[in-house]
Amino acid sequence: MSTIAHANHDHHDHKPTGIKRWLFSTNHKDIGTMYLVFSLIMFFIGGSMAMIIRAELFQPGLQFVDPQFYNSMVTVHALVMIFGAVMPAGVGLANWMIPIMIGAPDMALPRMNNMSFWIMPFAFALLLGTLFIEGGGPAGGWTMYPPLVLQTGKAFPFLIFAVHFLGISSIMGAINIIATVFNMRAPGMTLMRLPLFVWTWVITAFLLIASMPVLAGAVTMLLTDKYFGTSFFNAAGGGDPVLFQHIFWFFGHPEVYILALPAFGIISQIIPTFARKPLFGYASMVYATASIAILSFFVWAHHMFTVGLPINGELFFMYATMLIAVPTGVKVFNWVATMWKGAMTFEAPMLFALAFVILFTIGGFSGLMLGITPVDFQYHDTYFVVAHFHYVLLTGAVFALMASVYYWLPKWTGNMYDEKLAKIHFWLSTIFANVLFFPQHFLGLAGMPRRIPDYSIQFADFNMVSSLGGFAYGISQLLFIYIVIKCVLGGKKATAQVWEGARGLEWTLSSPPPYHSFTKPPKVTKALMDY
Amino acid sequence: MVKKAFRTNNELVEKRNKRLALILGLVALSFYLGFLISNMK
Repeated sequence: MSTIAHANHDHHDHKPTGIKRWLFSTNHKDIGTMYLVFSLIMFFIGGSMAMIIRAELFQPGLQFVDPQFYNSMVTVHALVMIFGAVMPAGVGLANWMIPIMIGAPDMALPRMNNMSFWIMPFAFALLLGTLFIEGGGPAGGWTMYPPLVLQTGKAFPFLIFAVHFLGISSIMGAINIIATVFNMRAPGMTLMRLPLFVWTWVITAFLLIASMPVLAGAVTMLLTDKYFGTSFFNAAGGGDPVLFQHIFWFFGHPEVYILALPAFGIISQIIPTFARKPLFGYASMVYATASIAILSFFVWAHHMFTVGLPINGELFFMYATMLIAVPTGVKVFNWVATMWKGAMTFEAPMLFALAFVILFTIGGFSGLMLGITPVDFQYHDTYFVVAHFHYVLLTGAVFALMASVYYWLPKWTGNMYDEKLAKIHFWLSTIFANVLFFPQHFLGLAGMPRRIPDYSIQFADFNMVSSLGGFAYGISQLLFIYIVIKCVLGGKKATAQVWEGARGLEWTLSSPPPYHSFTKPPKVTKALMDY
Repeated sequence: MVKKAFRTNNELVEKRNKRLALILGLVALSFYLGFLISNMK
């Protein structure tokens, strides 16, 4: 281990300075940092929209915002969180970690890497700018269903082009990741020695390449329907609005796994480290991830059970949806088995990882409930769905991202973060995320529809509890910013290995790693990757 | 194969990277156009 660390210290570590370092960067670490900072900003922009939503829902009646603006907030919150926060955070981690995990000097296509990042601020300028133009932002929901979305005013073309740009950015990022992993691995880094985080990202990248063009196709059709007289989704012209739902969810369901699979990868890195045991069932983890990805293309219509599908179709999509629980169960079992009889310690990354395993599974189970066709007729478009996907995406994907930041921050900055504050951040986040989202299950089961600014009086109590949880969760994330800034500015120096149980190439580099790492390929042996 | 590419030269790796990127880009483009064209009447 130490020989590799030394081999990488003795080269020149020149880096550009000033704004040019960031604007024209082709360095995977700098681009990774930019992605992560960008996504953090987006978390807070999207989060502030969530605060507006929860403030409006604090009690029945209309109090703060008009319904049109409320709908805008619901729509843009989702778009910002999915495309601006969670996805870029995953790409940021991939940029930072994949090259140093596989022993590559950089990403395969560094200039394209720069471009995929810098497209995003422009795309979000287009999207967020619509909130300030005449007629307000898009308000038809992030799913952009016609004919409702075609009623969007001047914001419409901005929305469509923003989605196109984000798609282009994601596809370029995905191509880069695949090329990096397939062509840039160090000698000895065989495919079945790849860290699980790398595996999950390769599979995610294939999902992106297969699903993003479909979304682009769908929104292009929306654009031509609105401005060029086509009738893809216009029944009066021989089209079908339900066609859009099919196309959208053919993208939309794999998208769910685009958000979730990197999170699975992160958890599969963290649990072995803090359980001080190798990951249980490495090969089965790889195959389970691939199975989930493949199955994700055959379940899209479970989002649209209520549109009037043929009964055989509904049954097919119900069974296919149930089938996804099998590889997902394999993963959860493997994480638990990894911890079994491990010498566990509970630092902040492990706490977030443990919370992930439990809370993501709750989200998975409510997903199974929604996947049962006859039952979905009751739950469809209610707050039960909102509770379900927030368990999957917030206590799932976002918790995994939080875990990853605490796990890798000492590696990135060379400083240890404040463990005590991080644990406080963990407990506040976990408690209040549950206060925020658990009551929404009950609201949904009792029939409260989603995407409404006002509701019947019987939903008042749980909504108030949910809103209080939301405000507390939102405020406690400020602590996260403080912990990160404090760690970047200084703190106890981190060692190269950082965590006692950490294994893999990235931990052989100094903390922080040199600006140009692995300029000479390291030799990867089984002993380096194993316990 | 990876071992050989690393040992020989960076140009070879670069060439492979660009070729793979082109193939994947074309796949993405064909999905996009395929969905558009297949839904035209």
